[in-house]
Amino acid sequence: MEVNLKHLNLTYPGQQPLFQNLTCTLADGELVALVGPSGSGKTTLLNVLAGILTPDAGQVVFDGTDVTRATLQRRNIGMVFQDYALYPHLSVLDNIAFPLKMAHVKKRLRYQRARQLAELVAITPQLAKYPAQLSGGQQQRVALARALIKQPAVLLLDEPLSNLDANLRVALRTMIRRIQRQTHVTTVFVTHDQNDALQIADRIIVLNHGKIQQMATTTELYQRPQNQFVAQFIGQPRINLIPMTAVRPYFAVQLAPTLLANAVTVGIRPEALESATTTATTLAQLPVRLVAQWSVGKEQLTTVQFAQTTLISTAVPATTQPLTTTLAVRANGCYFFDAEGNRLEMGVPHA
Amino acid sequence: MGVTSSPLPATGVVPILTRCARFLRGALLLISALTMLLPFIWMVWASVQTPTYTATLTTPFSDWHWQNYLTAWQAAPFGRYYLNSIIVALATTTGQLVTSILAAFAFTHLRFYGRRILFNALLVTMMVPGELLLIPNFKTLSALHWVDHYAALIIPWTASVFMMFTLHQAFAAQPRTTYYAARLDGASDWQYLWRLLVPMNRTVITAVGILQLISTWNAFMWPLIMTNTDRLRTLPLGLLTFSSDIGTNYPLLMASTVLVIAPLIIIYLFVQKNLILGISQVKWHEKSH
Amino acid sequence: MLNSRPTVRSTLKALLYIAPLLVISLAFTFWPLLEAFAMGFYRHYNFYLNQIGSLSLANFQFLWHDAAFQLALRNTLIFIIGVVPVSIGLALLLALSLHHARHFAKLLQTIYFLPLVTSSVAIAIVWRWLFSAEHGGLNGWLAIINRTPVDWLNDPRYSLLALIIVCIWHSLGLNIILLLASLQQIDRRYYLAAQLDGANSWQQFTNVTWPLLTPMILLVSINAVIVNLKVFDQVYALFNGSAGPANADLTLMYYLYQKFYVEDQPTIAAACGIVLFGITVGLTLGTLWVLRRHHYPQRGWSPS
Repeated sequence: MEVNLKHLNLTYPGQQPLFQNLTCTLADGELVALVGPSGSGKTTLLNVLAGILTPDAGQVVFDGTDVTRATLQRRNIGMVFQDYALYPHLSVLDNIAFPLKMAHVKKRLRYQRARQLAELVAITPQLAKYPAQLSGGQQQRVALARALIKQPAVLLLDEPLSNLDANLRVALRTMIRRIQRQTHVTTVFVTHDQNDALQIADRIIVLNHGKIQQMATTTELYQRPQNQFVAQFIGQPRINLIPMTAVRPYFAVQLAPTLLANAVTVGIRPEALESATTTATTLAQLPVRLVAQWSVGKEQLTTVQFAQTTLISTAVPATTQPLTTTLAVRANGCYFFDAEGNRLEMGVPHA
Repeated sequence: MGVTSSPLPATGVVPILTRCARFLRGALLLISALTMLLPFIWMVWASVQTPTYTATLTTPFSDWHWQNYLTAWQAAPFGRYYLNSIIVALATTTGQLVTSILAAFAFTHLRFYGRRILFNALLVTMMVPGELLLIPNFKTLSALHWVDHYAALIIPWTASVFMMFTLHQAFAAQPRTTYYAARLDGASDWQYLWRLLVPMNRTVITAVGILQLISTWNAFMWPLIMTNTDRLRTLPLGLLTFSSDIGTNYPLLMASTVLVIAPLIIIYLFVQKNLILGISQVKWHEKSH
Repeated sequence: MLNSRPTVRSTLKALLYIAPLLVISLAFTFWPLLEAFAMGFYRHYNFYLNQIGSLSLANFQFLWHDAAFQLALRNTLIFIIGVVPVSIGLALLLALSLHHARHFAKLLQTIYFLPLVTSSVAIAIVWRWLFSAEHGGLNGWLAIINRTPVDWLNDPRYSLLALIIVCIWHSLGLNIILLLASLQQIDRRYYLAAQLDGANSWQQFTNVTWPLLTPMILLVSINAVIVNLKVFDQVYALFNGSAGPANADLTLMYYLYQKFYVEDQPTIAAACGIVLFGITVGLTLGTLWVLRRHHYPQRGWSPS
């Protein structure tokens, strides 16, 4: 099912407007991640899709049908809540079968379907148990099965992985990806962890202060962030930001005049700050003082001091160098932002 | 295990003090428990004495007059009183549960004009002493020709704002996500209420149900005024009539008293865990509006 | 849903849900409340024919000058002062002890709650007997400690005390359960934190338990006051349909009953009811005000 959000406005009582003219389209069968800092409106947007919240203005359109005013029941949406919202007095089997019970499906048939779904999310051994007897990960899977059993048009997942430990997270997000591929249901999931988003989503929506900053694939978000917020939000370690005035004297190439006129901030990805000698793709040479070096797993992290700014790099090998050195800035991984934070096209070819 | 994690030193004044305090605490609990129990023990003991008993506790077991119970049962229409009490208590409690559950759901889950005003107006009635309303209610019931009918004992009591408020607190504490999940799963408000919300809150619902059952069973002043015939008397009324009839035949009186309170005590012993749990779960002093 | 505004449709639907409760409440609470208020001001009123003479404050003036009413007011006040502090104090002590008890806590709870389950009439009958002069158990104990026996129920000096004892005994259980529930809801981590900060058990009580328990204590107290303001059943049963020797146990509620049912003066009874209601509302609003001032912000459910 294709989902269109058209010109949504929404304001919580007594607060600043959250959504103003928010528009976006989710393609049929797509897995979309909704990321952003807390308070950015992720869960609100999900609730608007579900019908839990009604926008003040604008439309929610499913496959050409306007469902903005449709009740929750009519939208045919499966949703997994952050607290799972399982029914504590029903067994796992009855929990999964509940939507079919509401749809008056015959008992035998709905239990048969529920067992299939339980199989799909690998919860079959727990069918007779009650939610309180399950671990977080198991409850999560029950909630997922319950959301999927009525073959929803859209599947919404609100922070589905946030209460789980790291190993379980990876396993479950892989499962979500697999099931989503199998069922081909248009899926939106909210997460504050960019790793979840980057790993499994077809496309990612970056939200901040109720505004869509960018909606793009993982690679595009990383390589061509639309603005300073996206560049900062996506990528670990975070991108280095330096005032243009500080870097300006060190550029090795001629920059386009419009760029020079408008750029206020330079962003350099940690891996684009190398100790290699100058090559054709080098933008600038920065004299820095080495501050610290340590390794995290296979990554070698280096912090250096450049003028007033502390920079971080992942491309400096374990230290054999003197305390002061020069680092090269690779063009691929260096961005310029104007005063509003929008990214400026560089005007020099990327490698 | 070679390590103890006790923060207290192993010797010295502190353990002695703690032990003393613990002993005092135990003694206090025990004495008060005995005080609470004593009238009951006394009641049962007295109920099996001969009418010409002497106030000693030394009557041998073989002389216990269990037939006092039979005599008491036959001396007054206790069967009728029992029936009346059961009918009135069950009908009233069922009515209260239905009206309270419906209203509590509407106040916690539905949006409508005048919600707050209506809720607060109902809360204010909790402050009204029911006895103040006795006189005009007697007037109303006379006009309806309900005096000396079950209706007078049941219908006016089928709305309990106390119960509605208790359930309101419980329903309001329910995570909202469950409601949304149910609605997304295709349940209507009505289905959500009866299939999910009520079963999920069954502890609190049984607890308030039992509390109201107790108070209806023991109600005295209302049936005293609203009934004039023996035919409609409930147990407490019947007991009091009986007590003035037989004067100072304490053993017989005690036997009938045991008959009156036994059913509730038995019910209580069965549900007490649930009852106390339910009372403990309610957030009495947090208004959620 | 979450932010949807009420509509005529949703209001109608909600009214359907509330209707049963509302109709009964309107008929048997709101309407009689109005009527009771009006009746308190009637003069020369014929209850059976519903003929109203005129409206005046005469009934209240009558109450003001009526020695029996003054006695009832005085007795009720003494009674409340006798019951409430003792009952709450004992309940608090017992709840705290129970909270720390390791064994038999459940059994003890069950026992304390027992009187509450019991009909107040039955209780009064048992106590009537315990109090009786010749055969009574209490006098047997007084004899053991060499005190002269007391004619509890026929001596005006002791009969109110007898009523107070019965009512304390009756109401202790509920107070204990409510206070205990409140105690158990206090997060254990507060105590751990206090212990880490070096607080001894008395300091833990004054700094953690007491402040967190205050709202419940207040609530239990006000409830006790309101319930005991309306004491009737126990009086009626304990003194076998009278207000005790020389009216020594005449309470406001008993006065109301007497005026209405025995002396056939419904307007005076209604006026007495209004006075009772006034006292109750005053006390409740006062408590709510204190509670609100005491109230600290609590986390609630909020959108997003």
